[in-house]
Amino acid sequence: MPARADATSPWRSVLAPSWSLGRGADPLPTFVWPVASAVLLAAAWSLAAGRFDVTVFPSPLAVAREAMRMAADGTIWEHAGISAARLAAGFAIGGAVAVPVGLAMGLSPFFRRMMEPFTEFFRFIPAIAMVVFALIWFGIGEASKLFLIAYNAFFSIAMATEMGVARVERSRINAVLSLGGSRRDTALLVVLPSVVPYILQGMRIGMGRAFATIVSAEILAANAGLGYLIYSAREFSRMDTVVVAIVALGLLGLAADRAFVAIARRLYRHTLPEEFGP
Amino acid sequence: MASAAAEFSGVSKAFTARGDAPAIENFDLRIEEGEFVCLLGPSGCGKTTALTLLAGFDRPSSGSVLHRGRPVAGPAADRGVVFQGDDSLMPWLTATENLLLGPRIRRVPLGEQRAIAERLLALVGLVGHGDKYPRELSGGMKQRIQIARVLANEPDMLLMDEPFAALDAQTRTHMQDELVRIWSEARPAVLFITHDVHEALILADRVVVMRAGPRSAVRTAFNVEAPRPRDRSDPRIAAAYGEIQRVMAEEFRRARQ
Ligand SMILES: Nc1ncnc2c1ncn2[C@@H]1O[C@H](COP(=O)(O)OP(=O)(O)OP(=O)(O)O)[C@@H](O)[C@H]1O
Ligand SMILES: [Mg+2]
Repeated sequence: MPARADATSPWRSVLAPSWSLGRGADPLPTFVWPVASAVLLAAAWSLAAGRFDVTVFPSPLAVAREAMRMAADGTIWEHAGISAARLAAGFAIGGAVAVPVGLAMGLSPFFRRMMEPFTEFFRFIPAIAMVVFALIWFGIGEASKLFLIAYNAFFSIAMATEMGVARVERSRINAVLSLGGSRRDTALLVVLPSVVPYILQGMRIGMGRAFATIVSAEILAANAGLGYLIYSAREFSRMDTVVVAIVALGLLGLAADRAFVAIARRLYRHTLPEEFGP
Repeated sequence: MASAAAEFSGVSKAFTARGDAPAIENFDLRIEEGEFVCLLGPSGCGKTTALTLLAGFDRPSSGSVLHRGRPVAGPAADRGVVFQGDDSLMPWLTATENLLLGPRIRRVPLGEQRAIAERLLALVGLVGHGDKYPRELSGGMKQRIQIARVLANEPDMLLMDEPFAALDAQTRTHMQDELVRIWSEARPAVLFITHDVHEALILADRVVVMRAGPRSAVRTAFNVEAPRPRDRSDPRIAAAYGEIQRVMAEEFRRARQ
């Protein structure tokens, strides 16, 4: 991190931009901000909810009561667990396909030209538009849901991987070649390790996209999961349940991302740039 | 005539297809087996460009670049390259792992690799720093690892692009002496780029000065007759220094116009 000019320094006007792209120095303990914004949100929410019926706009209190009930009788854990397992499996499948495809696109101009029309087209088609095909191709079982999650996670991971290959420092490849390395050596000794941070960053984005898909995926003849919960609760006008499911989905995503970053940082301490992570 | 270690004949290199002036044009240079050549010239005149062609990272637009009588077809272990700057180190490998890349590629037995690492870390004065990662090393230390990485491969031709530019004066003098010692023993042919006339005179058999670019080529060459190890205060060196400095100053002025 560059040193920040303090307020009294004569360098301040030179070094400190009038706007800031970076994360400014924070004088308060880190937990203060999320707590403060939660309190603010709850206040605004209560105020707004007071003017509507609970079936239209449930109050924080109603949602909290519903959350307690669902936690106590275990339903929320059950649905969250099922969605988490689906997400993990779909994400793993998407990543397992995307990384080799991205590497191949980065390494082979031929392969890239063949694939690009498809990747460039389908990455704009959201999973929900593919629901019908998923049903026809993979049936109403688990496979169609995994397909949709994998489909949505695929693009960001493949594109990040391809970009990582394109950004490999040329002089490192040249160094390996002039040390007697083969093309294969450059792939193993330079390209793969250079691409790891890109793959991981693509996976973080891909994970977000997988989460965004779970609700569409669980419209499909599902009888459990957070997405299913949202749809089915809506039919009984249980908006409090819907909000609980939404919050659970968000928290699950946050936890998954933090866990992913922690693991990645542990495994690739020396490869990841400082900025990797939240 | 025996073939030279390296020979550029009528080499031109243009970087753009837009018809811009080529960086070097009609560039001729011959480096004999075991000869130590220093290449000087104003910044941007095409020194790195010439070295890159001999390393095989790029191809000339016209003319021929030969290594031991054969056209250069690409990079290979017989031409070790010390790159300008330190981007070419692998940030995910430790200093030792970086300098052992060549032996690792050649599948040298691990015990031998350990011995090579020890010897070279001592040579470049980095004993005890082998387990550090590049970002934990200073610029000069990184540069010395890069040099050690090339020496570990024992190439019969060394291509060095301002290898000592990032070093402090003392380390630089020490590395110059070490390079001369290694060169006297192993006798590789060396193409050594520098901006430092003194350095060139301490090291080289022949100092080659390029003209300001574009369309640069060799302007003049000076043979350095003083015996090695050279004394930095040798009057013959001082005389040559004045002469080369004058030519350099002229080319520097032309480069600014
Ligand atoms: N990859 C490239 N693409 C386009 N132009 C290039 C490229 N590499 C070098 N040049 C141009 O060729 C000329 C010579 O560059 P080169 O790097 O060989 O100079 P140099 O003599 O090594 O300079 P320095 O002493 O500053 O390292 C410069 O004008 C530069 O702009
Ligand atoms: Mg250069």
